Parts: sequence; structure tokens; C-alpha cells
Amino acid sequence: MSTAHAHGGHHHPFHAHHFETLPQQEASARMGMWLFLGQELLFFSAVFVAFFVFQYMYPEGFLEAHRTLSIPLGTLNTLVLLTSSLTMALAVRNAQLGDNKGVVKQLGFTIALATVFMIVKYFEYSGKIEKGQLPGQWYTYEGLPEGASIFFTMYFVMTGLHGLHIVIGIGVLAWILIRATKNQFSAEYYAPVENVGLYWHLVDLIWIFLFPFLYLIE
Amino acid sequence: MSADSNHNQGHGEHHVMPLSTYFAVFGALLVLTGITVLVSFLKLGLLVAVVIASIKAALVVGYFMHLKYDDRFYSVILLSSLFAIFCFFLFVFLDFTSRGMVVPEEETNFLRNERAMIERLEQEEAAAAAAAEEEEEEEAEEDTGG
Amino acid sequence: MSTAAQTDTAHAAGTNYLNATKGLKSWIFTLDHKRIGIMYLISILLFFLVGGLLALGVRAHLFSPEGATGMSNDTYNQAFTLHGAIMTFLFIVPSIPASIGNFFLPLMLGAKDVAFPKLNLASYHLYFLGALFFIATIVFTGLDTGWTFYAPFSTDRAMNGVILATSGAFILGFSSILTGVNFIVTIHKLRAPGLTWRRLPLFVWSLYATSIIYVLATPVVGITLLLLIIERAFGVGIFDPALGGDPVLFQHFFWFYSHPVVYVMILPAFGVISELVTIHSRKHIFGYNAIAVSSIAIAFIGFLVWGHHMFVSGQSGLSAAVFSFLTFLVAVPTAIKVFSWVATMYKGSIVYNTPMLYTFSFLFLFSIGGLTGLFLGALATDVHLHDTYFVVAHFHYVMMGSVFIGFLGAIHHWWPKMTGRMYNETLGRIACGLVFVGFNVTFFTQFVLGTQGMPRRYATYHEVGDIEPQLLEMFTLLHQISTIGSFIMAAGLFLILFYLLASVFKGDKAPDNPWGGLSLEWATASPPIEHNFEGQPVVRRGPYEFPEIDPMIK
Repeated sequence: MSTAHAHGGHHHPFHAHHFETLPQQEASARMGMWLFLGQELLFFSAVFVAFFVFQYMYPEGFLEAHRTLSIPLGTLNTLVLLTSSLTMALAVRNAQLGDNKGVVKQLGFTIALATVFMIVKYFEYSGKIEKGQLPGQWYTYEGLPEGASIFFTMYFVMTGLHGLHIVIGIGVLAWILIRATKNQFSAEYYAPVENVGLYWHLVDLIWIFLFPFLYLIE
Repeated sequence: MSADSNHNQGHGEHHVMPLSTYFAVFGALLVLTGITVLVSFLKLGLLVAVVIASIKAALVVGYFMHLKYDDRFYSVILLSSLFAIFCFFLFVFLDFTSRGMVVPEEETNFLRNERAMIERLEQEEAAAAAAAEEEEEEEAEEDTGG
Repeated sequence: MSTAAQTDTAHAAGTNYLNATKGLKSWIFTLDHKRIGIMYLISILLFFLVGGLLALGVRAHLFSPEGATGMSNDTYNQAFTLHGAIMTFLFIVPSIPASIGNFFLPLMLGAKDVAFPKLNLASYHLYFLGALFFIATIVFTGLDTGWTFYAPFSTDRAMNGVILATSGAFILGFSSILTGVNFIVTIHKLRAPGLTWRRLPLFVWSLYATSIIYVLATPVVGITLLLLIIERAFGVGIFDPALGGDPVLFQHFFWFYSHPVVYVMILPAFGVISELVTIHSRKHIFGYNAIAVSSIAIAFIGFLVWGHHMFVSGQSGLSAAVFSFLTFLVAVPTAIKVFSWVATMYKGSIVYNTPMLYTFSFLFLFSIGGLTGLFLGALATDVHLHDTYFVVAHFHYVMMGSVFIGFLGAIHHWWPKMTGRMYNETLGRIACGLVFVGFNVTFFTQFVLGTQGMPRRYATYHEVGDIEPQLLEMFTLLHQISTIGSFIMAAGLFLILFYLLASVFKGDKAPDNPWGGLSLEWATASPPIEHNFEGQPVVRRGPYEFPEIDPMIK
């Protein structure tokens, strides 16, 4: 209880009444975010399991189909996402130091890189749609062995879910950016920046595994 | 207030890492990406790619996500989810890779039942067809009789 | 707690969480965990009523071999599917944790609220939204897949309700995840001073284990249902073998969630029984550590055994054998619990009141449910018993006979705290007896039916295979007994509804601590004030250290 008295009459505007201290609130928020990330990992693990099961069932179809993916575009997107992870980490660091302007700048970079990622994805998708390399009954591409259509099903499901996470990520990044322009973060209160950062790194993590599995492995 | 806040002081002091650490990690990630792309042309297979991806993931989790300096419980959460994912992969692949190993696949109950069902349906269809034929014949007889 | 002191002095005498603010809006948008718990309780019981009426319809139909109610076979399929889906997704998964847990977790921890009150409210709103999807399914389309949505039937030929219902279940999954995250953080971060891990009430431990499963298993069913929706909506082949998919993969995905979620249902009931058995026996719990650790153990073992639902699905013989072997691991922590409860009662000063009668019912029914599980976990016997009424009887003994009886016990035990009123004790005992007898009459007969070969899910049974007249007579008799039992049980349940509602309006005022409990929820007023406690409670002893076997309650 002594810590509560140390605050005296002063209360941080974002300090919720059911937490005794602000650090306790910040740590709770982070623990909640980590649990959410654990949940996200399980969520994605299911599509990975499905992907490997189908690869096991249709090894040739998957091999031939994955060769149609563009490694340069995939590598480019990997670099874009890794860089965005760096700028996100730097944004959190700036928040730790209470530098709201730095947060705004780094978040700006992050959002820009995320947008670049989605633009590259758009070109990849439109190429596939043109060629008819599409899931299930929409599959019209010719010259690939059995199972190729399932490969593209999994490709669209996996990258689609990941892309959805990027789009949601852009949304929450923008929300945090607006709050940073209002100077709401400080060395004692920056959990929102950090939690969005954790989420963004997770999106990066998923891609770190998606990229070799979809584009690279022979 | 809670017992946890005692061993959670890392947050109160919010460990700020030097900029150089961030750039060093970023550099390592770039190098590893390069390696994994180059290695893929050598066709070394799944294992190398998984190992490199895991190292990259560990770097991101440990440094960018501060897990190395944070409450141990977050690592427990991460390990618990990895445990669940491990079980998921293990048992699904145990099934798919051992089909027909103990019991030949055509001898499984599942396929036996299915075969029995198909047989029964065929018999029923044949019986129905025969009945329909008979009826027709009867009708034809009635017609001629009438 | 300087903030607490300030807000608490603002409480006028006689106000509590129920009358602190007024109006419908103050309930729908409340951040108070107690009100959210009450809203969950009402919604959950409402859906129990819907699911229960469907079950009565099913039972009534089976009264005669040709179908007694004149339902068409399709209608019958829909009735049992919706009974299963509503009971599983809308009733039993959220049941104890979301209602009783939400209400009592912060109280037991000595906290003012859960860690994330807004998420808690969002979780309720998501529950409500998911429920709307199910209502839409009933009203507009219908659903005939069984609650498991097995592919390829669900992706291909089944009724159109599949997309609506699976979307609903998907949304309900998010609601579960948010509750799970909230509970774990609350237990870690909001314990009162002195409330160490080994002083936590066992109900809290069981909620902790439950939350682990909520967080780690639910996302997989989310993605499964999402893939099913994608497959059905866009004709993409993932689970349908005709399109190159694999139907057994669907079962793996589905049971990876749905088996652990069985423990989501039962673990909170275990927690409730741990509380009830010790308080109403006035005796320190036997094996506190063993019970607490076994809850966590069950949560993790739950991830190793899902394949025992798939013994005849076409999975490999080797993995079926491995799953069968691992399934027996579950028996260890479960038996530890049952042993500890019985040992707790030994030489205790047992009070035969309504909550304790539910505890006895639980022990009896759960033992039967658990032991019959061994026949189904053993690979060889399961192949024989699979898809018969034996399975139906087994999971009703566990799901209804244990979880629901535990839920009723919890409602009776904590009713005075939640409403500030006492219910009629005599009626309580009579109703408990009716439910117990009705339940056994309904479901014990089904064990016999199952072993004699009555398949589940059949609308009529006058032409099951080449049924002999003698066997048909027996099936008919057993089905009739079972149907009569279900109506006895329904009578008991309506009696409970009646006296609980009556107690809200006419019941005696409840004291703050009617049972002499030592955990923190009994240290505040009945019903609790808006911020739970006047000032910050401090804990100096374990939750079950009763000073003596207490002669106070007689």
C-alpha cells in the first residue's frame, strides 16, 4: 500500500481505478498482450498444419506450384517487413524515453513500410488472378500436377490471413500515431505503444516462417 | 498489491536497450534472410530453412519484443503455446504418416464399413430396379389382360 | 488504496451493485464484473431453456419406435443438432466461468474488478452477437450437421444454416478467448495483499486452468470454422475429398479444440465442488496442492488426447493406439480430485443442505460418467460402442450430470451473495432430488440401450438394421423410461426456476456469510457493494482454515 501513498493526490489521466499503481496496470496490459499473442500463434499454427498435411499428400503438385511464386518479390517483402519491425522497435524505444515526436516519426515509417508490403502483395495477387492460379473451383491454370490448386488455396488462405493482420495492424498503428501526436505517452505510460509493437512483431514473425515455407523450400 | 509486482520490477525501470543493439539485431536478420534465400537454391530442404527461421524468430522475440528482459511469465506463455503447437503437429503427422502401418488401410473399420454400405446401397438399387421392372411387366400383363 | 478510500466513502448506506445505477443502459454498457456476470447468467440460462426444450422434443419423439410427435426426420435432425450446438457453444462452454467466475473471481481475489473491464464487456457483447447468429440459424435456415459440423457433409450437402452457425461459433470463440486472457491477468496481477498462490481458493485455480485452455485451444476452432466457411462459401477444397481435401483433417482440427474444451466445461465444476465440499463439511480441504496442480495438469494433458474421438474416422491404427494409451493419463489427475473430495468429507461435520446435496449428486454422477469414459477411451471397446447411446449416456453424465449439477450447486451456494436473498431450502432439496432421480432415469437407461446396439441420432428405430421384435420391444421400453425420466428432470428444473425467482421478490434477506466461508467473497456485503470491498482487504490465512469443525451451522 505504501506505493499508493507515494503518488499522493496526483493521478495519471490513464490510470484506471481498479489498479493500485500505474506500473501494475502497464504490466497487466503487457501480460494480456502476450496471452493474446499466444492465442495468435495457435491460430496460425492450424493453417501451417494444414499446409504441411497437403504438402505431404501432394508433394509434386506443391513443388511445381511453389516454383511459380516469385522469390524476388517474396524477398523484397521480407526485407520490407523486417525493416518495419526495426522502426516499430525504435518507436517503442522512443516511447520508453518519453519522446512522442520520435514515436510519431518511427510509426510513420512503419505504416509506410506496411503499405509497401500490401502494394507488393497486390501485384503478386493480381498476377495469380490473371493466370487463374486460384483456389478450388476457380483454378484454371494448366500444366501443373495434381494438388496445385490446393497449394494455391493454402497460399491465399495463409497470405490472406497474414495480410488481414497487416491491414488491422495499419489501423492500430494509425491510432497509436494519433495518440502520440497528442503527447499522450511518457516514460511511465507507454503500454499501448508497446502492445501494438508486440502485435506488429508477431505479424513479422509469422512472415518469417511463411516466407521460406511458401517461397523457398524445394 | 500482488505478489507478482515484486519480481516484475524490470518494467518499473523499463530497460531501455542501446540503439546499437537494435541495429545489430536488424543486421543479423538481414544476413539470415540472405542466407536462407541463397541456401534455397542449394536445395538443402526443410530443416535448414526451419533452423534459420527459428533463429530469426528468436532474435525478434528476444530483442525487438524485449522478452529477454521481461517478466519470465511471458516466456512461460510463449513456451506453453509452442507446446500446444508441437502436440498439434506431432499427432496430426503421426496419423498421416502412419496410415496403413499397423492395419492395412483397406482393412480399417472405416473403409470396411464404407464398402459394406456401398454394397448395401447397390443391392437396394438393384432390388428397386427389379421391383420396378416386375411392376412394369405386371402392368403390361394387366393391359393385355384388360 | 487511496482511490478506494475516496470512492468507498461515496457509497451511501444500503446501496449495492444492483441498485447503484438504474436503467437498462446502465446494465448493457456496465463495466462492473458483477453485472456482466449476472447478464451472462441470465443469457446462459435462457439458452439452456431453449436447448432443454429441444431435448424434451427429441425425447418425446423417441417415445415410440416410429416417432411419437409426428416430427419429420429432417426436423428431428435439426432438433438434436440445435440442442447440441446451443448447449455446447451457448450454454456449457461459457457456463460457470463466464457467469459465476466473472462474478466471483475478483471478489475472491479481493480486487475491485477484473484486469480489463472493457474487454470483459466486449466479451459479453460478442457472446450476444454470436447468440444472434444462432437465433438467425433457427429462424431463417436450420442446421442438420450435428454440433460437430463434420466435413464433407457440412461443406456440401447440409442445410444452409452451416455458415450462419459456424460464424456464430467463431464469434463465440473470440468471446471465450477474451474471457480467458482477462482471467489469467486478473489472477496474476490483482490479488489482494497476502493472497499468495497457495492461499487462492481452489475455484480460482480451476478458473486459471480453464483460462489456459480458452486461450490455447479456442483459436484453432476459430481457424477451423473459418476454413469451413471459406470452403462452403467459395467452393474451395480443403476438407472435401471430392475437391482434393481431407475430411479427417477437419476432425483433427475440430477435436484439437473440442477435446480440451471438454475440460473447459468440467474444470470450473471441479473448482465449484472443491469449494462446496470443504465449506459444507466444515473441514480443511484434503490435498490442496494436489487438487490445484491436477487442474493445471488436466489442462495440459487435454492437448494430447483429442484423437480418441476419431477411433473409427479413418485415422491410422498406430495413432489411434497412441491416443487410446494417452487417454488413460487423464484418469490420474481426475482420480486425485475425486479421492481428495471424498477424503475431505471424512470425519467432517457435513451439513445436508441444497449445495451439499448437489455435491453428493456430482460425486455420484461424475464417478459413473468418468468410469464409463474408460470403455470409450479403450480402443477396442470403443469400436463397438462408437455412435451408440452408450456415448450419449456417457457424455451426458459428464456434461450434464457433472458440469450442470456443479453449476446448480454453484448457483445455490452463491445465490445469497449474488442476490442478497435466501431461497426456500425445502424446495431446494426436493428439486435436487427430482433432478437427480430424473437424470439417472433418463440417462442410465441409455447405457443399456447403447450396449444393446441402439445407434445415436436415429429419429426412428422400428427398422434399425434387421431388428428382432424382442430387441425392438426392449428398445421401446428403455426409450420410454428414458423419456419419462427427462420429464421428471424438467419438472425439477422448473421448480428450481420457480423458487429462485420467488426468492428474488419474497426471499428472506441473506446474511453476509450464510455458510461460514473464509474466502474473500464472504467478507463483503450480500449483495456486494459496487466496488466490492470497503477498503482493501488483506489476507492472513488460507481459504479453508476453519477454526474448528463448526457447530454454528446446524
